[in-house]
Amino acid sequence: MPRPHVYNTQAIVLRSSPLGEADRLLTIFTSDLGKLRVSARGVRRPTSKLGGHLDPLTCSAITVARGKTLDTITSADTLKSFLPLKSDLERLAHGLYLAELVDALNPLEAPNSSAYSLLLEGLEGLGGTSNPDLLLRHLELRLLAHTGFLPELHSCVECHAALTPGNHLFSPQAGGVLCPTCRPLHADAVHLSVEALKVVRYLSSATGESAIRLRVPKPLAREVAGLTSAFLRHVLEREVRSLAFLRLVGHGAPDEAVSSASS
Amino acid sequence: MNSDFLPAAAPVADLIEEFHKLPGIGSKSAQRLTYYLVRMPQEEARKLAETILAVKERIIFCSQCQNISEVDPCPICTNPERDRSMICVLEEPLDVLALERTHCYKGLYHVLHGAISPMNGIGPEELRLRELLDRLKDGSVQEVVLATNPNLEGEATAMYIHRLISPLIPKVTRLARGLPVGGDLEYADEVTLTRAFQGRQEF
Ligand SMILES: [Zn+2]
Ligand SMILES: [Zn+2]
Repeated sequence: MPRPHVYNTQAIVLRSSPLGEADRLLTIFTSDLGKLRVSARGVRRPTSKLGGHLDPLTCSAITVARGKTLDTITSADTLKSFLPLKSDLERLAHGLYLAELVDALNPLEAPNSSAYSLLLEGLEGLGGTSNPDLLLRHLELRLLAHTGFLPELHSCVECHAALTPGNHLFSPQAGGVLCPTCRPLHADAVHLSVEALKVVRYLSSATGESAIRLRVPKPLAREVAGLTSAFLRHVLEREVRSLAFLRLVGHGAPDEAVSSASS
Repeated sequence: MNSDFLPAAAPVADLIEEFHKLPGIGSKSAQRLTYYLVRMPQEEARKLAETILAVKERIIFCSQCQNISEVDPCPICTNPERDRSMICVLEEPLDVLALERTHCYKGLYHVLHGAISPMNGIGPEELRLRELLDRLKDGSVQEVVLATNPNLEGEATAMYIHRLISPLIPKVTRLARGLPVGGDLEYADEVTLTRAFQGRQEF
């Protein structure tokens, strides 16, 4: 889609890397133009007027000027800074994971306003909830739905037979649930409990607010997390990079990586 | 004539490519630097090449603060005037120079050589954190100042280190984050203003 020479939009910064002397190369997710790569000049200098408005996980109203190779942000004003999310290590890790997923699942310049709203709500929600893991499962599934990757959760993805309770499997490769008859078609099929399937179905259609009210026992939460992460690994053909950090600082867990390595 | 030109062009292209790999050097700057070097007297070029090699051969990491140095331990770590009860944690060697220029800090340093960046796959194990923990073991350090950059990665790094070392150290502080000198209040973002307000001090 051709963009005008100068355009105004709303964007959430997904990632940022140094560029040249004092510039940054940003990957932003806009409300109306999808994911874009743009430059921001001089923002690494402490006196930059733009810098603080363009830190990752910040939502800003921006003005962008078209460039030959790269568009450049000429003004930025924070709309939402998600300070509660950024002030807590565990929540921040959840937010970074969500931003990486949005980045990985959206191609450049493909407008996706539902994914944008989801990211906005997600960053807000993750900063305030006492149940960030369950909310993240919901966000993962909704994001898959908004980008056309949601796995089939209702009938066998191969033969379309209705599922009989307690006797079904999940295969990332097949793209959803399988009946026992179709199991041999996919080597990666694993047993899926009826409770986990119900939770996944619920989380994939509920609102964020109802999702976090769900009470899910730990082993079941682990089964659901295993399903979504296996499925995401299949869709992205790689591990979500932020997952390692999320696991390290999540659940108020002791910091295993460094302390065990040092002992 | 063409056969003379081609072999000469290849090293030029190689050098442009090498410069382009350096931080802060775009393709235009890489070309400019290369053509400057092509015109440079032989002797000067040799001196430059030798200086680059000397840096690689003579510079090592201080086993205590992890800063780059010619000797181990480095002059700051062995200076008897420095306050050994304080360690200031920084991302890069250049940050040490910036702080030293202020002459306001007399403690020791610890250089992490990076910041946590989960999306780029840079976790705590990529930083020199084990070395920091080793330095805190004997109980002589009373305060650790976290002076990572005031951006998302620097904050994540500071929060992570705080969680890791607060059981070991009586006082863990964070460099005040706030309004830059020369900046305008009206252009400040919400996070900067909030943190500047939280960090306000009595006049
Ligand atoms: Zn089937
Ligand atoms: Zn040293």
